Amino acid sequence: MAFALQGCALALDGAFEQCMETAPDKPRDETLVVLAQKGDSKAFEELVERYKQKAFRIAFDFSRDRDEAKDLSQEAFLRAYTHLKNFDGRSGFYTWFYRILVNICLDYRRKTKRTSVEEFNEAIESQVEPSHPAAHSVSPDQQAIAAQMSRHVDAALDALPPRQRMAFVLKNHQGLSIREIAEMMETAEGTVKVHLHRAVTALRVRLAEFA
Amino acid sequence: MATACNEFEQDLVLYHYGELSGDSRDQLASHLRACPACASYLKELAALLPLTVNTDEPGQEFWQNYSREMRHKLADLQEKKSWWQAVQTALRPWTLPALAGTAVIALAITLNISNKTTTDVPSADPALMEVLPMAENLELFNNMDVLENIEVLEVMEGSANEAA
Repeated sequence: MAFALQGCALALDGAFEQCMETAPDKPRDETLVVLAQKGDSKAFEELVERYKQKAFRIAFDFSRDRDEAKDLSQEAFLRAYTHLKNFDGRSGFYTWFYRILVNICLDYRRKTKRTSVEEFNEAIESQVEPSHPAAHSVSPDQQAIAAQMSRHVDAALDALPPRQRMAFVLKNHQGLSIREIAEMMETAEGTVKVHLHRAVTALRVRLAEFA
Repeated sequence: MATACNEFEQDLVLYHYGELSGDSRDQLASHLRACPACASYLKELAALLPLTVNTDEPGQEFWQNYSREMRHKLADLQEKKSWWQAVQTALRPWTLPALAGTAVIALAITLNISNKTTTDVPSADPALMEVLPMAENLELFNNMDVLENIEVLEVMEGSANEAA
């Protein structure tokens, strides 16, 4: 295995607690992965604790729904756990894991396919309350504007093709680099740049009145 | 809505995100100083794109539930996994031939025993020994196909009488 094991002595039978005792500083992802591959679920639970918030945010950016985001991110962890034996350490655990998450989110978008302009228009015309109104609004007017904006943004993002949306949220919301996004989406950096440009252009058109 | 120069539009997006470097960045920077349209396009991006971020920051309770649910789901998964591993272990390459061999041996033993039980005849009872050959003959008769056709039997009987 190509891991550089540092952070704690690797005790394959002793598992996670022993590792934490011998190395009070946090063990590296790679160490936890090796322990988890040997069947130590506590080690994998530690990986979940490390990445659950980031995973949830990515899934939320994609679904805009708290429950859906929870389910999607948890499914990604479970799939990662199931296929952990296939993880060869060529990339970091988080890159490998986010790749799984990205694929799950893309599948989710395909299943709940809503990308047409007509659906965008229907959505912004609908009176459905946004799932998560802006928390920092103070006055009713501001709250109404924020809610309207949120509806527009949700609808505009929904209208994007899944891969454009993924490239956009990973860049704009998560602040990942083009290289990282390309790695997660298993595509070329040039393709990510094109997705990003098209997504931004489409959003500009749809959200022009708020600029 | 500002319209940027076509050839710089994609680079402007990358520039906004700090993803442009080297010559491309320098070239765009000097273009921006001379092109008000591209400059206002960039300003528009800076104003618009942060508005699209809609964060959801769940509380501590949510994260505790999240972790608890994950632990349960992982435990379920591990249980299924161990069951499946047990099945896989049972179906290792050497187990199938071994099982087949055992089955063949068991079948052979069973057949041998059943043959013995059908051919073994109690020899102690003399009355039975007398009746048995007759019963065997009857059985032989019953098995003769010719007796199934009564006409053939009658013809045979007639020709026997004539001969006599």
